[in-house]
Amino acid sequence: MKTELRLRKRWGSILHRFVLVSLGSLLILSWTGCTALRPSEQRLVAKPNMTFSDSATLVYNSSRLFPQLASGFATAGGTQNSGCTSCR
Amino acid sequence: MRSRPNTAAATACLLLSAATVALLVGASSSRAQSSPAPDFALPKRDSTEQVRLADFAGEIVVLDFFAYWCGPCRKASAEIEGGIQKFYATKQGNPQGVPVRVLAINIERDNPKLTAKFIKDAGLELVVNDFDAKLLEQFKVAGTPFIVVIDGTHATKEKADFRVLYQNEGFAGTKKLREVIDGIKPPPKPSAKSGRAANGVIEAATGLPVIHQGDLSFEAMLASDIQLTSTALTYGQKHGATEWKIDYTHNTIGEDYEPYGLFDFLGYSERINANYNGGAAYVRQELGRSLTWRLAGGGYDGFADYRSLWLANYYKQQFSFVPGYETPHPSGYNVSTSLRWEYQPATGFAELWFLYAHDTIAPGYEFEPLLGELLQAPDQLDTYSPALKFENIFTRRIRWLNEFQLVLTTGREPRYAYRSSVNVALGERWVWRTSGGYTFENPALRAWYAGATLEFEITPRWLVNLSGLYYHDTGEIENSAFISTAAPGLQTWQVGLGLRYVGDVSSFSVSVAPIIADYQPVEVGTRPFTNLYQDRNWLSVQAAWTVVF
Repeated sequence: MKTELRLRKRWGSILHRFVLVSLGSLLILSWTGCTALRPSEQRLVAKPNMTFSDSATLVYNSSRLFPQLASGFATAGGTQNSGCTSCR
Repeated sequence: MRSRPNTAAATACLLLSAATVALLVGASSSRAQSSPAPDFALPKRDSTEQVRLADFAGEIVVLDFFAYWCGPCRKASAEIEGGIQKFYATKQGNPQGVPVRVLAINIERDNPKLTAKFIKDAGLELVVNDFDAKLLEQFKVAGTPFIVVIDGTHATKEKADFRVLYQNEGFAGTKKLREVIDGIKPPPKPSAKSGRAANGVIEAATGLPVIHQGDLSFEAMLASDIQLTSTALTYGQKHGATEWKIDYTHNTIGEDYEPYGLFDFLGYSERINANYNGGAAYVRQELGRSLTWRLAGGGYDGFADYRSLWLANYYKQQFSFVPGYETPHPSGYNVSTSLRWEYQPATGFAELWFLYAHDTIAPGYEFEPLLGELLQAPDQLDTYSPALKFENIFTRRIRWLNEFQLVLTTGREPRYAYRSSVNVALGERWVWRTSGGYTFENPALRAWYAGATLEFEITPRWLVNLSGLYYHDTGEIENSAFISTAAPGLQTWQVGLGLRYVGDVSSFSVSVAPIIADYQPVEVGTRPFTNLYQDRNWLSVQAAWTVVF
């Protein structure tokens, strides 16, 4: 029973943080997100090297190998490339 | 004239955006519900002749606003020219016999050679200039491509009765346009054409074209005792509102394993090699004009990183003769889904993303002297990870990406990560890209990085860039009783030089970057891995080739 309560509290805390971060990001969104540009003003931001593309020729840092060295750099993956099971 | 961020205006803008979305989603092709079209007289490209709205009296006219630098316009204009202009020209009008014409409208004054190339590539026939987008702004839209269908069937030379039946920011394919066009009926006239039957036996001129994209990329990180390579092949297709992609990745790891003698008297030097093979597939589907749904899944087999291979080799040398030891076979699979919302056309995107991953990893071992047993650490990990991303155009020179991620993995504290990237157009030929991130996991892991790339456009085809990246972490967190495999604190520096070629069909890039990795001294429990966590100088090499046709 106590374990269950502890787990609920822990999950509540995690979700609470995530919701806070999400709300914070919504504030950022409302501040920056509605900067409508005239179409003729979009020329520079529409350049391929100004976009966040997943095209292989537009990758600027080693995205596949570097996280093996720098585990905090990893963005996804079950173990964040952590090299061991007993460490976190 | 430039718009500036303003909180109150932003809130109103959000509400307006939602209202606009609702209006556009519910856009009707009914003439009764349509609005009058703004009148115009625009100069033909490369001549002084004016094209007026009145010239289209008795016809249906499709306005296609474009600019050479607008990526989606390239596809939209080509499809509209083929799927609307040529299609209806071949059929001699819509099913009711009303002539249909496409008027392509260029909004960019600068770089006329690039505009000419765009027109040639898309095969545009009737092109006019609307420099500074004055006509476009009368429709109260913020971006291109922008498509309008105007019904001029009730207009005559004496009476300018033109109605906007459809308008859309972005391109949703020619199917919707044809539905609108096919539904337009001319006012009853004794001389009206009899419709489709008069057109004779004519097949549809075009359908939606399929766009193919292939990527081949290679990366290597080379140190004196460790060599890593990664080769990836990706192929995908985009057909209208649907896009799919599959990829295959092959990694290799080669290591000169060297035990740390004082703390590892069972160990011996050996060369170890491992392969990693992974595959993934994803589908992306546009849902309406502002939502895109994405579903992805993948799997892999083999060691995902060089450190786990080194550690697995350590356990093999220590315990392979002890009952309870199992040869590791790392593998895993994952599924992810996301919903992307274009809440501000062309300038504001929000994406909610969720990942589930299951990994079978190479486990750690500890010998329990009291029990006389070999204890194996968990080797099955489940990860759940939601993330929230925002991409915004901040000004006409700044594009900004923010990402918030939560990672929940079996047996670990939650990991929180924030990443941000800002791209700044310093000028016509200079782009400055910066990125940074911060990750923390209780009780002690903190990691952050910051990097920048400066890219210069030598010609519109050739670009050169200089980049740098600094990474710092406080070390991994250890919870084992005796031997600790956790990496100590690390900092790395790298400076790179890159070259890119951007072609119409194929593009390629190459870059090279030395990386200096500097570890903090290992703790007593981590001493057996001193040679793994030693300072190293790496050389990173990347090459990529992309083909779009």
